This record gives sequence, C-alpha cells and structure tokens, in this order.
Amino acid sequence: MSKIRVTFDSDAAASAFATKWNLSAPAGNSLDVDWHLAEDAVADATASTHEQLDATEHEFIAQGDRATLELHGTIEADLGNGFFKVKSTTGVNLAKASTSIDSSSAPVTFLASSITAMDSTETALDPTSAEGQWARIRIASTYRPLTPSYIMHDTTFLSKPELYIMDSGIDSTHPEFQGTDLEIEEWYTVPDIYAAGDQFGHGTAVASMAVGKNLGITTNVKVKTIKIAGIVTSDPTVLPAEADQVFQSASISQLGDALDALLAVVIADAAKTRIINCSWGVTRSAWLDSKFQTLMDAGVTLISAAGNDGIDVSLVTPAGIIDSLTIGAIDKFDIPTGFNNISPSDSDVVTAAGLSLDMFAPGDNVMTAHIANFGSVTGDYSTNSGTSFSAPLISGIACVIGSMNEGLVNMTAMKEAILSTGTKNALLFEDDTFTGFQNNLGYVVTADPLASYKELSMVSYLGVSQEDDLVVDLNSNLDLSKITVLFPDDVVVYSINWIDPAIEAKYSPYVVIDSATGVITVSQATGVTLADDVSLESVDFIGIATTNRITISTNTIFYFNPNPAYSDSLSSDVTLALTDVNSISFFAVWSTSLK
Amino acid sequence: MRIDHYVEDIPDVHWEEITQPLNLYTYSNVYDEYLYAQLKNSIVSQLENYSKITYKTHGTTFNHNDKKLHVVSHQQNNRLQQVLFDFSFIKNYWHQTSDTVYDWAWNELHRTIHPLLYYHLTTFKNQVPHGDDLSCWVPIRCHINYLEYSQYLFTHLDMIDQIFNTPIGQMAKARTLTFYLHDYVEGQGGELYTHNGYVYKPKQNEAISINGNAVLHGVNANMNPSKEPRLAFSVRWVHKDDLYLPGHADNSMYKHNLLD
Repeated sequence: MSKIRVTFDSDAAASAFATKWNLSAPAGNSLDVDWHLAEDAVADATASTHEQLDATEHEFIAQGDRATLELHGTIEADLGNGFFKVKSTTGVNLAKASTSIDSSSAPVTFLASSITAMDSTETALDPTSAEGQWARIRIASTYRPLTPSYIMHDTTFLSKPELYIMDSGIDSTHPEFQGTDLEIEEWYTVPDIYAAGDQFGHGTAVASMAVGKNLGITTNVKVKTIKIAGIVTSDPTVLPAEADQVFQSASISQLGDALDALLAVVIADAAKTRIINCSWGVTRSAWLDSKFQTLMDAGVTLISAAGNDGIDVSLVTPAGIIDSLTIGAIDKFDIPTGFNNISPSDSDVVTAAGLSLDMFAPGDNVMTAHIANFGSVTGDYSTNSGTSFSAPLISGIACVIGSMNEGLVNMTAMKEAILSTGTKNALLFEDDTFTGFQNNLGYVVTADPLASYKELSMVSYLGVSQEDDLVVDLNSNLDLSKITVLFPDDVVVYSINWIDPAIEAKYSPYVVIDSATGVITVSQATGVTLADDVSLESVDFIGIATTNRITISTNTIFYFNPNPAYSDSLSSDVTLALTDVNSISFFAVWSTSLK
Repeated sequence: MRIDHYVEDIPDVHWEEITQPLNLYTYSNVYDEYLYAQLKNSIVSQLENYSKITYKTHGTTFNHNDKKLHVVSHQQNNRLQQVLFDFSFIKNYWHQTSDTVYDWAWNELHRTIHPLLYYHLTTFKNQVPHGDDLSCWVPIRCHINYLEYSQYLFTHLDMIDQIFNTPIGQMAKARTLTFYLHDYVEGQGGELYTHNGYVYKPKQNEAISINGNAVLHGVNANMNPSKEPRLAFSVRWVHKDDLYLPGHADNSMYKHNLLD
C-alpha cells in the first residue's frame, strides 16, 4: 500500500509522532506513514519533508476547498460536508491542501479492540454460572457487595429497539442466541465479503454481551448486523473453500457507505429507537466522524469501545467523537484495565456530557460466546478481554432504556439517561489517568437490587403487633431511585401481595397501605383469635410498587401477631422465632421504619 | 504517612476492672491528594445513593412491654450507620476457624468490597499495631460514621462481646480504625473523647486506631452551624485468635436467647 515518507527534525520528533499514533518506533528521524495520517504529518511542525513513495494515481477522500483540491487532482464525487472523492498522483500536495485526507481504498486498520488481536483463552466456565456472568452481574449491582445473580424487575417493554452491531457479523445459530424473543437480521455487508454469519467470531462475542440469553443484558431487541469484516468472495452468497479463504476488513470508503445505508433507514423511519455498537476503531477520520455525527444528530445512539492500545482516545474514530458514548473496560475488582485508551483532554472537562471517554463497564476476562474460528480455542464460550466487550454491555443498557420508552430517538437524552443512572465513584483509579467524572460504572436500570435478599430468603421484620400501630414506609424496602431519575412524571402505585390466602383472609383488614405513598399501617388484629398452642403468628406479605413500565417488589415483610395467653413468654418467643427465620437471626433484614 | 503512638497512663476513673487505658495510634497524611479525593467521593456517593442492598443494622429494635429490645441492633441516638461489610452477617464466616479465617476474610474482602476500601485495608494491614503480628488481624466490620447535626455518640465500648472467645474480664485483641473525611473546627463538636478526658480533634486524611473494645469513648455532638454531617468511616479489626468461631453457623452464639 502506498505511503508517504515523513522526515522529522530529529529522531526524538519522529519517535514522538510514532508514539502518538501507536506506530512502530522509527530507526532514525523518518517514518513511513499511511495516508490517513498525512494531514497530521503535514501539520506537524517538527516534520520537515514529506515524500510520496510511489507516483501512481490513488483515490482519496479529502476535505477542503473544492477549487484548491482540484489543483492537485480530479474530483470524482462530492461526498457532502466539504468532503470529496479525489484521484491524484500527487497525494502529498493534496494532503497539504486538505484539512483531512484518507486513502479511500485502504483497508481499515483496527486499532481499538482489534479484530485481529484479541486475547482469547479457552475456559470451562459455565455461561449460566455467576462466575461466567460476572460482567452483567456487576452492572446489575451498584456498590459492593454485588447481587449474586442477574435478576430483573418485571418490566413492561413499550417498544423493541434496533441494535446495529457493526462488526464481523454474528453467528445467529449460536446457542447463546436461541430460545428467546431476540431477533437477528443479517442486514448489511460491505461489498466483496461473504455475507452470512460470522467467520471470525468477534461480532458474535460482542453481540453475546449485549443480547445473549446468559451473558447479555436484554433480549427484547431486534439486532441488525453491519458486517464490516469477513472472507473475501466475488459472490456474497458463496463462502470460498477453506484453503482459499482470505480475511479482509472494510475500507474507509466502505465504512462510510455502510453508515450512509443506515442513515437512509433512519430518514425513512425516524420514530424507531436505534443504537449502533462499534467495538472497533480506526485512526481518526474526519470523514467518518462526519458520518457518525450525522447519524447521532438523526437520533441514533452511538456506543463505542474506547480501544485497547493505551493511546489517546481522541486519535480514534468513532471513540474519540465527543458525542459518542465511549466505554472503557474494568476488571473484576472495579479497576480500569491497563490496556484502556486514555483521554488526557478530559481532565479539563467540566461536565460529564463533554467527556471523550464517558464511562466504564466490565471488559477484562469476561465470558463471551465463541465460534470455532475466533482464536485457537474450541467450544461455545471463551474468556476474552477488551473494551470491545465493555461497549456492548452499555449498548444492552441503552436497549433496556429504549425498550421502556416509545420511540426514544434523541442521542443526547439517551446518553444522559445512561450516564445519570450509572454508579458514581464505585471504581478505583490507581493513578490520575482518569478523572472524577469518568468514575461512572454502567448500571442496568431494571436490575433488582433486592435480588440477593430474595435469593437468600431474607425477610424484613416489622415487629410485634400490639396496642400501638406498626408503620413502615415501603420505600425503605424498594429502590425506585433509578426509575424516578428516568421517568420523573410516572405515577407510582403501591400495593400488597399476600403470600398465604389464609393469612390474607385473617389479616388484610389490619394491614392498610396508602397506595400513593407506600406507607403501611398495621393495627392490632383484634378480631383474630389464635389457637391455644400458637404463641405467635407470622404475618407475611410482599410490598409492590408499579408504574406503567415496571413492577418492583420487596422481599418478604413480616410481623408477629401475639397470642395474649403467652404474654409472659412473649419476649423469648419472639427471639426464638426470629432466630428460626433463617438459621441465625442475622439473616433477617431489619426494616428502617420500625415503630 | 506519619505515625504517632499515645498510651494513657491512668486507668479509667470508674471502670478500671473492665476497661483498659487508651492505646492510640495516629496516622497523618495517609493518602496523596488524588487518592484521598477518590476515597471521600466514594464514601459520599455511597451515602447519597444509599443502597437497600447493604446490611441495615439500625432500626433493629422492637418494643415489648414498654421496653425497647435490641436484637442485633445498632441504633444509637437515631444516628444512622451504613454498614459496608460485616462478616457476622455472612454465614460462611461462622464456618471458619482461627486457622482459616484470615485467608478467608481477606479473599472475601477483595471480592466483595469497594476496591478503594480494600486498598484502604491493605494500607493498614501491615502498619502498627496490625503489622506487629502479621497475618493475624481480620477486619470484620466497616461502617460509615454519619453524625448529623446535633447528634452525638454516647460513651461506649466498640463491638459486642459475643464475637470474641476471650474469657469474661479479659479484653480481646481488637482495634477500631477510624478514617476522617473532614477537619475539626474549634467549637463545632464531633470530637472523640475517652472517659478519662482525652480528646481527639479530627483532621481529614488522618486515621486513628484505638483499643475501642476496651476503652470507654464517645463522640460529642456535631454542632456544625451549616448542619453538615460529620463524616468518617470505621473498620473494626480483631486478632484471629480472639474471634469466637464455633465452626458452624448453627452453633453461633446468636442462637442463644440473649434477650431474656
């Protein structure tokens, strides 16, 4: 592939340029760089000469004044927003006349979360186990300790968002995608690539983190693939024989065409919630940036992996686009991984909305769906690391929030919803690489924070019903805070679910709930007579809060109705009863609103 | 970090038989500015986003025959505590022995608590007095001290005896390590005092370790005129040899009828 040779004033200047762009260290003071770095090499004050290594004609995507560009090549097409497709034999001069230039035919070099450099190791982990699902369990929890399993509140989905996974395709036959309401459509493939499935595995792994039944966040999604990497073929319906298979990723020009195809769909039907997940990156391309920006302005939510090269995220498209929701990776101990791209300019940012790197999600040794060609391992699942797998977890959250709305087509609103419901200051930044605003961990708003209590059969104890009323505010046992943030106008209706019909028949007149506030008042059950051999009767129920989108229930709440005949031993009877609640008395959870 | 050591040289004026003199370590400038800010932000965030999933020990009382009974409660002066971890709430803790509890506890902490808090614990793991007896001290409980305006903490001993295996009258080897997230302002209260009159005035980014299970101490009222809470968090450490570990949850002393 054609390059330009850039000579710098010193070896150190050449080395600095190489470091900035994550290139191999130069031997001297010159570097051979790809065309997409041409405008940066031209603009670099320490670069003294630029030499085109061949004199043949190339096709470029250049941004600048048309008349000026025409002095150095032939305009092939006007791409809009000041971009032109230009053929030129003097690319260096064209670069000097451009504010941005890319070789349109050069294949994309995947820098971040690279398709060609994944860390993939075989694992015998069970995808249904808590250990296998640690990534999604982490973001279904807020502060530690974590909920032991991924359990959701009952949610009414008001819509089914479209999630575009721009990647190497998806193997929709993978067991991780079977048996749910998930829909997967092979929607778009760049030209000259075999269209069906996934021949590499990265896309399948990424998809599993967003919409997998064991590993993902939600299945109430219509997934549409945008396949940008695969096996070269002259007929997209025919997979070449294995010996003839050549893997290729899309060119800059092809990526832009794919985004144009999506934009056309958005324009045709603007009311649908759409999210695009990009677990890849290319060297910053102003042209692709403009394509993504147009999509976001049209209402598509762009979620990008920050990248795994430890370089400045602002050097990468699409992660470096300010409006993109850009996701870094944390490990199992809530610490950002060492491979994350960084964002030095974010230290000056004064609002979370202005960050280049916005938030974090698990992305280190996470379990993903696996296909045979991905790495050297076998089996349906493997363990992987990379921001590639953090981004789709947040895409899954975006799908959940989209599902709870009807036609959420505002990227700014979606981004704000995701950032504002994230868990703040739960991560440990070991040095000043990241700033306070970035200490934000994605959170699944429909997660049930009481899941651990329920799973351990932990109960909330109100006390003993005697002369004085027992009063409890259900809000002390329910967490509506995330829902309230997202939907402040929703009306919450509180109610009680009785567990045992016999108990309900006896005690429902004495347990009164204010449906507007959630305050429960328990009065003495004067009309209930207990059997002679019963010193205490446990009255159990569950509190419920409902909106038109979600139903949130408490763990079991109980109180004791005492038999007056046992008043002398009431204290010890209560104590013994409490210790029997779950082996030791500590396994009862105590309500905050005791009287 | 600078470490100072102070030991009171007089026994408790009233309770000499059942208490010990104050044994205090002061740790100044514990963290650099960046880490301290993170730690404070983290504690404040956890308070503001009070999670129902954390263990609640306040309000664990009920009324019977006009008598307020405390089960395993911690409700003092209506002062809220947010417990960040408490091993006595975890069933597996009761299955440990003195040989296993140290490794089990530190693994459990690494896995289950905020990484900054774990970092905090490891910072003090090898400092005096814990560092004098390596691989022996177990942080068994941590809570945020949130003292609202006008609230105080009356004179008390830390930790209930039921978690120790020491004979009656013999003090367990236990320490309370408190890290402060605010500066004391003269006249605004929130000072820690002992029964003998020793007073510690909090400084942010400073920690103290006291023999809290053995020395009577309290905190005077927070009288901050802007009504800001006094903010700190405490970790209770116990030497593994002095923990009551019956080997099985069902053998826990909490099965006993303590309230009669």
